Amino acid sequence: MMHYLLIAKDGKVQFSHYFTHVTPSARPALEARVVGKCQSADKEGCHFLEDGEHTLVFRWFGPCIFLVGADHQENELMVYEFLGLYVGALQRYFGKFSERHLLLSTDHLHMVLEEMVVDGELVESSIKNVLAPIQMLDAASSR
Amino acid sequence: MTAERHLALKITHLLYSCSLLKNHTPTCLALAAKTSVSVLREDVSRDASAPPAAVSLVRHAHPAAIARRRKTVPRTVPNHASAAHRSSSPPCRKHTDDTTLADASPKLNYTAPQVTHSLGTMSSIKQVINDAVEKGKEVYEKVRQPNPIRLRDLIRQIRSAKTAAEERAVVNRECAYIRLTFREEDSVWRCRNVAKLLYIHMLGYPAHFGQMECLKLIASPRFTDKRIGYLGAMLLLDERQDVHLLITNSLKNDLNSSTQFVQGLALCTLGAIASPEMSRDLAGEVERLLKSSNAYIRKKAAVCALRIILKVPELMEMFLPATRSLLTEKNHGVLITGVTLITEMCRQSPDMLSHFKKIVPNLVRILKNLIMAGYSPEHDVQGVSDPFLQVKILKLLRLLGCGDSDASETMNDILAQVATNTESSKNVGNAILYETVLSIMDIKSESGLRVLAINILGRFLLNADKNIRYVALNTLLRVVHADNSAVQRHRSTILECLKDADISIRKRSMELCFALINGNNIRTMMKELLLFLEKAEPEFKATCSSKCVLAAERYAPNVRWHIDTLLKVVEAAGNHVPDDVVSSAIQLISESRSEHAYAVGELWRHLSVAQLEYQPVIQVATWCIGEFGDLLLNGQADVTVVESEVIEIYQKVLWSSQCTITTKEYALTSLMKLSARLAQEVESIQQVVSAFGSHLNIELQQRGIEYSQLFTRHNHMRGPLLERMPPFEGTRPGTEQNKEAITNGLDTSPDSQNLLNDLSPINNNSNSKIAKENNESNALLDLLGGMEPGNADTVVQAVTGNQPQQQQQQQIPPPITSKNTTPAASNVNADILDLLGGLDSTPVANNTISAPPPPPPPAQLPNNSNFVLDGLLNNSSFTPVTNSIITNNSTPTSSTLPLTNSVVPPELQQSSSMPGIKAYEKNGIKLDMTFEVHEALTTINMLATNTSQAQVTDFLFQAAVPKSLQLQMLNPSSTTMAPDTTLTQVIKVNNPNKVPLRMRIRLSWSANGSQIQDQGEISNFPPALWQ
Repeated sequence: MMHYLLIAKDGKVQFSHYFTHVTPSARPALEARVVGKCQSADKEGCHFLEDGEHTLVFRWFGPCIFLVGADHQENELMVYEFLGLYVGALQRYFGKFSERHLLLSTDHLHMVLEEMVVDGELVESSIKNVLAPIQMLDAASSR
Repeated sequence: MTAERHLALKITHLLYSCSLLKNHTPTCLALAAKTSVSVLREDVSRDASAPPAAVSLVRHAHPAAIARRRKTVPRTVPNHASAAHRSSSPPCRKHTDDTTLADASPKLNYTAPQVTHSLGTMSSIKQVINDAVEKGKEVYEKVRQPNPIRLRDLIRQIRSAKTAAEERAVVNRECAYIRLTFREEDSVWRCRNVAKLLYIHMLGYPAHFGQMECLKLIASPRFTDKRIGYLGAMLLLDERQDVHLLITNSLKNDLNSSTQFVQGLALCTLGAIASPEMSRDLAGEVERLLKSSNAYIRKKAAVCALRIILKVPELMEMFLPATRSLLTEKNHGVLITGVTLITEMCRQSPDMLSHFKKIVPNLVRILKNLIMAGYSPEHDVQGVSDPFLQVKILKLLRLLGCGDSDASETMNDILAQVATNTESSKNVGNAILYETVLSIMDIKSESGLRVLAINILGRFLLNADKNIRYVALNTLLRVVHADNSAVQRHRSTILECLKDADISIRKRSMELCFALINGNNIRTMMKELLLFLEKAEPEFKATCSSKCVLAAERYAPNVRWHIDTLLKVVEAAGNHVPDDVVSSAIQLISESRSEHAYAVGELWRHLSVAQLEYQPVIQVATWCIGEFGDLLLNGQADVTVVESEVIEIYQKVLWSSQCTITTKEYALTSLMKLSARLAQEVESIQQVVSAFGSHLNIELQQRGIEYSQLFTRHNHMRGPLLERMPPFEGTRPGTEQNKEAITNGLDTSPDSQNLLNDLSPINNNSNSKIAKENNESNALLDLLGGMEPGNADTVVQAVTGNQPQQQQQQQIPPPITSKNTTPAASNVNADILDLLGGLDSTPVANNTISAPPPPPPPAQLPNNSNFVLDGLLNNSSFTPVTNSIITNNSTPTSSTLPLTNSVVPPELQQSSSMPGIKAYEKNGIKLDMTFEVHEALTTINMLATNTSQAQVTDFLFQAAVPKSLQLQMLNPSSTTMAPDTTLTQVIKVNNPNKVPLRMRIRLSWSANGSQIQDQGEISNFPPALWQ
């Protein structure tokens, strides 16, 4: 299972979602450590790093780094692929996903993620199905 | 009426300005209130409908108040309470803060009665004012439209903060404001505020106070509120918090809602935060929803069920029927979650595992459909149909097929199909292949399939994509125990990966290499691994070196190879060697007797070229040279070493600032051991050791003092004490040599046996042992006389004057210091003598009896016995005697006293470590210098001692030499000295022309608050420095 998903830019965490509980006081240190690790890794190199109990899987999208801390049992390539799926869903949802959305619409980032992953397990692999309820709720909310 | 209303507005305005002021300058407030009240009184009494003066005054006062506030609060956040006055005083809005506003409205009510009271009897006016205040209140309520800043604006504000402190300030202000609105039960903007709070929480600020608000939002009927409420609950709550129990009811309501999205939201949240209690309470609802006809609800219910069975495994039974039917679903979301749920159930209970064996055909069918199905845009990822589902199914198949040949049989075909049909040019394809390989290796698959799997991994290993290479290594690591020989085929590729630039790949391949090592390939593998170890990052070195040691332990073809390997490991890993590697290297050398000479020779080679910053190799080397130094020097070790070289290296180690205290401890003890192994350099060892008696480190100091005792008072014990260590425990106990040692012990007097058993000396190896004895009184003097280095030597000189050894002692150049000696044999404390007497008497007997062969000089034996008697009789007035016995079992002729005498001085002359001089002693400061000569370069180690009772600070030593010499002064170890402590400074002099060395020195220091300065010239340098 996945434990957390972080999005960082220039070493600063812009978005974080924890699937399993991490005490708020422990988060900054964890984030700084894993983001630092992934940031310093070779971009062309391997995108999997070991971090104690977790395997870090990260993927660069433009200047942003998407990072998942997963169990060792998790299929790393699949997690890597999941990050692509997530960004794909965001692209579709926002029209064109950009840093502006990352900055200003963190709540929507959470909501999209929530439709895809619950309790660290993937629940939906189809972008269409992910977005359908969100768009419905968006429509209902704006009414 | 309009005029009245107008007035009311103005009054509100006025009072508001007052309240603004209030927080800053009470006098100002008082003034403003006074003025306005008097103006009002005037206006109202004249004509209530036309208050031009009041208005103008109020108008006048207002901008002033604003200006004042602008000055005092340069940066503020818009605030809702001020919004009450937006219409009347827009510029004010941005310049208020929470503390002011929190009591703005009470003030409104409070000030008004005061105003009316001050009017006293003017009841009509009072009436009017009261009316006005009422009106004002009404207006206040009407215009009150709390309009908090939007999330976006907050984010912008936070992002634009330039420093962390600025950001913190923005966040704190916003938090204070959000708290305030929460307190006011403002339900209109709760949603927005919670959203902001979530953002703040994500930045790492405390946001627990929003938990209750989330619950309120969840209870709200509006979608927007519910959404944010659930999101907040998911992010802010966890099962450790009590608030979270309160949410159960809301969840229950929403799970029963008629709207699927509300149900979906509730299920999502439940899946994320369910606690055991909550799981029990809501399991029924979840089970019902699991049977829902709506796919959206079913998939979410399945994930909730997963969470619930993780929290409360007993509830698993309950979900069983509904779970099975999940696999008949077409929707991929339901299938994915269903498979995940079944996987977890199988993992949790063996019953479930056997129960679900029968769904293998279903799974196979689903997988087959996925592979065979044509392009479906909904689930297509890079041309592969729903890889996520495929991977999940493969995972479950692995679990079901593990150890079950029937199930494995059923899935063989499909696995083969997946393995051959999946396109491996894309990442997703490889992800599926990766999972397939794992499944094939885990289940009882056909051998052909296994070959296929290993071949896939072989292909992966050659892939250009590092991610693929990584998973290949990872997989090989997982399957290496199942099929070692198959993995061995890829050994060369794996070894190549050790040289990869990528750290993850190197780490995995390192682990894999260790898993692949066996008796046949250990030599080649170790060669590669040592190369790797040399270049590896520090984080690898520790684990890699430990594993190398383990592997060598297990598969070493012979002892010599083993020793070689350990030495290479210690050397290659530099300072990152874990302590256990050092000790296992030492243990190995210690226990392999036949290789002692070889090991010590090798280690000498290492040590003589060692860079002093790498501690472990020095530690191993010094230990071994200390133990087996005799082998090194008598040529058995295949190197030619002279004793002086050894001492030189040790001095380098002992005085180097790069060496740690532990290394120095090793070296000091080793040097001490060498004093029993070397023939000629014992005096220089004594010098070095006793210098440590004043070392700053307490442990080294203690060793220094203890060891110098062994040169003086307990000299007779030194030989036996410094015997070789017995081979370390856990290895070959009771070997021949051990027995010999015991026999030796039995031969000797019964008294000595305890001692000998403890030390287990191996007497037949002590072929160049010099046992020198000194008088007891010397040792006592040392004990009593302080810790100055060289003290012992001096005493030796003083009291041995009339002894046979006189000649030898005098030929030895002066010791480091020539302190005033205390010829005090007579003032020896009888009690201490008593204490030590018992201890000493036995070894003396031992020494004379256990090592009998060389007949000692006839004059000495009687002395010895006298001495023993003296000690035993506790005679405090005995005269000091010094004995020297040189025992040498193997070559008695070479050990006679005259020979030793003639050899020692020339040896010392050749030595590059010169005798020291006392350069200066005045004003409570003593400077001692010792020298090392390397051709033209003389290194002077200066040891400054504070012999005064005052703290010396700002100690500065300056020196000048004749022009033909070059002088370099290194930094002193310190500039301050407490009483009786020392500091060191290294001075390097280049003397290419070999001219006599002279030095002018200037010293300055502060003691007792006064500055002391002195100059002098040193011209008593030993001529050996330039000859």
